[in-house]
Amino acid sequence: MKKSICASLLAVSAAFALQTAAAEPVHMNVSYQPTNWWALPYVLATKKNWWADVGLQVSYSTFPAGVPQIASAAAGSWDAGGTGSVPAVIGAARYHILTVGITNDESATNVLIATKEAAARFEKNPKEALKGQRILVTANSTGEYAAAACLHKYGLSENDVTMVNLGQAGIMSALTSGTAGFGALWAPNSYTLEDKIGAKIVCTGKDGDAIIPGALVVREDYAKEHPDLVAKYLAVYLHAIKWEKAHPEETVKALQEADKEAGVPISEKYAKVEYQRPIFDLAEQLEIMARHGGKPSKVDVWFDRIAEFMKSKGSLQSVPAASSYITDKYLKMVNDDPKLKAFANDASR
Amino acid sequence: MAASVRSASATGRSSAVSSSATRATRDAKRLGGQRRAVLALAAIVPLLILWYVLTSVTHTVSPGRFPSPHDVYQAALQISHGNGYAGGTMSRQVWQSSKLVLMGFAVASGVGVPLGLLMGWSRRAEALINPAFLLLRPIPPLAWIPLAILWFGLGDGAKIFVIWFAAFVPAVINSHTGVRNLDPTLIAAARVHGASPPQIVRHVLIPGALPMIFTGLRLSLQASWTTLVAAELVGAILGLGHVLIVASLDIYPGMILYAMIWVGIMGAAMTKALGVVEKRVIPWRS
Repeated sequence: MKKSICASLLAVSAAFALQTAAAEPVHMNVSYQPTNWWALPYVLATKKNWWADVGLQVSYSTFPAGVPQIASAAAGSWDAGGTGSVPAVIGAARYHILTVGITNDESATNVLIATKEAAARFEKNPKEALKGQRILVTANSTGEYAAAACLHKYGLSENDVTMVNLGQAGIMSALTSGTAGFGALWAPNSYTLEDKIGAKIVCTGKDGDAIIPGALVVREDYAKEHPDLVAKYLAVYLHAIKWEKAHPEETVKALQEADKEAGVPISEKYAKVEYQRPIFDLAEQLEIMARHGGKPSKVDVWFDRIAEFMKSKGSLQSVPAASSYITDKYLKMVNDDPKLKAFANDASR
Repeated sequence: MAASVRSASATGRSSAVSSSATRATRDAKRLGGQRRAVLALAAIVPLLILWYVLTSVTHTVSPGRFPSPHDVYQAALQISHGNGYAGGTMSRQVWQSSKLVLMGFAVASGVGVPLGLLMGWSRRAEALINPAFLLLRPIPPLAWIPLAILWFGLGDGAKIFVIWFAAFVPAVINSHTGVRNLDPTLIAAARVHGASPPQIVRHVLIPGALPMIFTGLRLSLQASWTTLVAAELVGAILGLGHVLIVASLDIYPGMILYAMIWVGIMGAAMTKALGVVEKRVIPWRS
């Protein structure tokens, strides 16, 4: 009890100290994709004014998908943000985008979904049901990666099916009209389709043994110029993670509100499913990103597999070395700064 | 005998005159063609040099924003070998797109030209069709995509439909205008000489409207190519538009530019081919 009171006092005084130290808040452009579970920390940070606690003033740019988000980084439209791991790899290969942390593990919510009829065929014989079929995927997305992993799980390759590129809205419309039986969606789109036409999730990225993380990203040139600001940005995100872990009911409610505001309302049932997605606090992030004894970190391995997949389909000409774009340097900066560390680990407010 | 010699000599002279005239025309044409080629090169070569200098020598333009000639060359190599890119080699992509464009264009011309002629010929048909046409005309082809998927599925049908819609409008408008711009005295004269309605259509209406019909067809062909990318948003697995979409998702400027160059080449080649047909059908225009 005493310990937790002391920790809370330390966190509150740290926040106060941070706020007073930076009298003039520093501006930062942050980008993300609304309606994603991992976008909630940004919404919470704004509503609860956590950015001000570290002396940041944030402007948001939001994107419907990762590719336009990454492309806009080339024009310097944003400094830091959150995105999917597939766009993060493209960003690393094309525009020197660094991955400085992990938003969440979305392996279970990137799914291969089927119409009722296709799901019935799949239940009888998954391999036969999938072979020769048209699989609707959003190219260069975590959904496509999950779909490929699912095919491999059933002893098939991308050559055994026809992968058809459509946006998420197009996939939903095609499955609804019955013009195709299988598609790759991510939450909350998969929830919408389950509710609307009784579609069934037949395989997730997790089932296919594909770890699909979300990435906290930053422009390399910005990180070089303002490493302290990147650390502060991470501290706020980690603070939100800690708060979400400590306040399940409030988080579920906040997620429902945020998705409703973004135009994709989800039920409490599905908000609770979203809440089950693994998220990582400071200590956990440091652990999964650590390269013990020069060996690749867990995150390196996850991203390397994604990059290999992208190379195999011709999206990348070579696999970028994980160490060239994945770094725990800024997480360590948070960890080494007592005030930032206390703030990142504070779940009380 | 003397007469026949004179005649032969006259024939010889006239044939010599005519052959020298033909040669002169051919020379003039060749000279004109050469001059045009030189002018075209004079416009293109400095642009290519500027492109190379800015992207590869001074690096004023970063490769992330605009690809260098080397990037485009690498993209060309990638798509030309092995599995190619975005599902196939460039020859397969070009073939697929050309097929879609030609089919969409053929259906649009087949429906649009007769409809335009009918609307131009008959006030009653115009009154009947024009209101619906006016309502449909401003709808962008892209807006039809969700409905096209529902009606035709994800196959070529939906793509041809989107291309057809884009190409159909100029075919109708120009054929209609071609008939409306005809000198009414020509039709009246044909009637006075006892021509039946089918004869008037065949011998007066169509030949008179042909220049405008061909202008419409040229615009239709261009519309077909410009709508290709939108059409190939409809779940394509091959095609130049598909390459452009995938390359934009890969943020691959070299491939984007290479595919654009091919769209330009194919569009220009087909317009040129249509021009040859036009010259044969209405030689008096050239």
